[in-house]
Amino acid sequence: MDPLAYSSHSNFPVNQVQLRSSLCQHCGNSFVAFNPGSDLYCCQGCEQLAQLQLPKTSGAFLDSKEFRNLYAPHDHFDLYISGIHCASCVQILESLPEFVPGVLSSRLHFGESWLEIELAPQTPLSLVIRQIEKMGYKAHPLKSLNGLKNSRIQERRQDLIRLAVAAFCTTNLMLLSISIYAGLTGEMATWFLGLQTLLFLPILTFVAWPFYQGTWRSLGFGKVNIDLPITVALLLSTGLSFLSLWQHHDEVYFDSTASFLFLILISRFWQKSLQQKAESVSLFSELFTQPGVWKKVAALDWQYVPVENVEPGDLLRLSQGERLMVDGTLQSETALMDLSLLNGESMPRHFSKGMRVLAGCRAHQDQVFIKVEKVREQTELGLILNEVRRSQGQKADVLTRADRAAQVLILGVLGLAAVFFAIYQTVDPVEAFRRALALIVVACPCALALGAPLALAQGLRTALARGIFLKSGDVLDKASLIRGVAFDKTGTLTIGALSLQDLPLLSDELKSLILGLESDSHHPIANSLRRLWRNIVPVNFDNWAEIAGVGVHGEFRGAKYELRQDTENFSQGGPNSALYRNNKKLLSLKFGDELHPGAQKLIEQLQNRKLSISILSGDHTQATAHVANALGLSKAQILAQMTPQEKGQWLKAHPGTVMIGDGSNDLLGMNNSLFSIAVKGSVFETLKNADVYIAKDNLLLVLDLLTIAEETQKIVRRNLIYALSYNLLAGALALVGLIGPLGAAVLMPVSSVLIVGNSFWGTKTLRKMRLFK
Amino acid sequence: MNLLYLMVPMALLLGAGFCSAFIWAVRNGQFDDLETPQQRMLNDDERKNTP
Repeated sequence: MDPLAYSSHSNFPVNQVQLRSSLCQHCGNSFVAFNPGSDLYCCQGCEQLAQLQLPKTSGAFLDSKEFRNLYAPHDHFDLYISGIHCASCVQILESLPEFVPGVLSSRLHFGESWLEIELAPQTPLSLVIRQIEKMGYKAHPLKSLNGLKNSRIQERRQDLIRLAVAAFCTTNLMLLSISIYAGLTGEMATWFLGLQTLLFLPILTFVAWPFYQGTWRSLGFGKVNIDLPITVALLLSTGLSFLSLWQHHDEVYFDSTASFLFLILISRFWQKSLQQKAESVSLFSELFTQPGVWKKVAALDWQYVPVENVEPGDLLRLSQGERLMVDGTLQSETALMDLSLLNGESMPRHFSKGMRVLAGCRAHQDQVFIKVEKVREQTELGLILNEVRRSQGQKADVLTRADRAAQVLILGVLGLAAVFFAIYQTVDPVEAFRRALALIVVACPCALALGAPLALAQGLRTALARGIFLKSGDVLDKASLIRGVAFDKTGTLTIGALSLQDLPLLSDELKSLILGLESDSHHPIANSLRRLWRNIVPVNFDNWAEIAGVGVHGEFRGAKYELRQDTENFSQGGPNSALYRNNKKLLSLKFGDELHPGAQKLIEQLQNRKLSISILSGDHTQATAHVANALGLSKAQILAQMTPQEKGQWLKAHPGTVMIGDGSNDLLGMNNSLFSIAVKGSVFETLKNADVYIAKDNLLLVLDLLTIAEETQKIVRRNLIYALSYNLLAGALALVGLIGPLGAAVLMPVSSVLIVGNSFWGTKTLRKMRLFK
Repeated sequence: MNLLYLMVPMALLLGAGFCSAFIWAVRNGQFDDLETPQQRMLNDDERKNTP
């Protein structure tokens, strides 16, 4: 049986008074609604598909030729599945071929929540998606994931192979060198040296290749990165070792050079895989966009086409809940549009015929006709996104401070060694060479270079375990520079939906009257009341009408009822409505955007940390002031009615500020901030661009992030102190000749082990955080 | 001591053998996804048609 064809309400005893035939909001079929107004869909399938924001009559669209070409030219689909959490999910989803005919194979990637399916030609994808939804998951088709996915897998494989070769060569080099350290001489020593050279060659070429590449690339940009000192140290010690071989000395540094490279590679690999895990969240950002839009192709012929196929001059039709992807002019007489993505306003705005509507608006009613003017990059939203991308490019090359310290140190050490050699060689050239060399080997930036990335990787791991996704370790490094926090209001500090305030005590009779009045309205107030009173059956009104921007009215048992704006009683925070009977006010209802549960505590704690708090909102001054008031913030701390550009400028003027937001109107602000945090429920572009994504619906995780950052900083600092004091001490000893190159080569791995141990052990707080999620 | 001329290369060859086995496994995709298989093995081989 087709799951979309039956009505889940047909089994209920239907009360004649409330019986009303409705049109399904998703498929458009008429059905008998038990609760007219709150029942928007004829069945659960439609409701789920509608929530997925899949196109109406989604089956047809998913199976259209354009869609197939766009998403899966080879009948191979990638679906993002939400709701996966355990082993049985794997079992169910991978057994799809057994009960969906036409599915050839199904493979789930648990960590990334993505399902690869292969379909027999002509098998409708819609069928598969419905089946997956029946199992209780949500499936989102992903586009153009293949390239990224494959390149990532290839990169990971290459890294692993490099690590394996490095591990093999390094360990064997060490075994061979031990006997030489122990005093092996003669023919056997020469032979061992030969074997060492042989084992070192793959390290020098294959394993060290990424470092050469990195150095070359950074030099091309006229910059110095951590790969440069590593390459210099590597080439220098290799050169000196070969020189030593040439002169038949047995002082070669193959083993220490190899272990140095191996340790760096392994810490980088670890850091990278943790980061990619965090990135995979933003990788699936495409699922937040709807795949297509209704376009008029001929008189009376509308087709659902991919957004890519829309050009200026086309006529589009939006239905309730759909987002506009182009800039255009309104062709309908009036339309109610939600602009919250663009300006953060919580209330939808009215547009009349001929007005410009911008990409990013969401329709609040059906049958909105729009003539396309600008598409893609030319839209206002596109321009903002382009600017965001540009400012991101400038941000990309930031090095962590520990890296910079390592850089300064290595350049200093190299310089010092050169100067020392130049001066001392007049006294004793051989001894000068030995000591300079010992200095270079002993003060190799190994410990320093390892210290920061390892500590940051541990920080990332702790954050990940708590549901905080960091896109780079930089954030943990920068957290000590925070001076202030700027919040977006709607959707960040508040829930982002209107709700009835001070819950008045109403009789069920009144509730059903109010619901009846609102039953055909899509105004946020109507939606919030439907959510609040979901068990109440609304009454049926005659002569019902909605006057946009004013309210609704209708007749019931001879009396005229009205629910409209309360003109006598303006208050802060949100719209006020009142119920009137025959123009006499019965009661008033106050609506507002509710504060996020953790908002108050978060602000308190941040203020305890002596951080300056600001709210930057695109919403009206009144609404913003109300929220600030509830949070105990002063007037000076709030800025209302800000455009995205103004937010950007404000953050530019206030360096050291962290931006926390959710909408694309926060993007420019985010890109000019110290770092940015996107909260759960953020729009796709924000997710993609923010440095941190908080995946749980808990604002207080921001505090966890700060704690993790502080603790990580502590470890980095401890690492730096160990490494620096080791370098200084051993360097001085090397210069006065107390440590020879051989001793230096033994000491160097010891310092590395110390750093690795310290980073893994972490601090007491971090260990606790990992233990108690 | 002369035995070392045999033993050391043999040890190296053995190591190289394991190393190439690992590389073969990586190329085969054995290390691409380390999370799903540990869940997958908990599944019963016998599958029912109802999820």
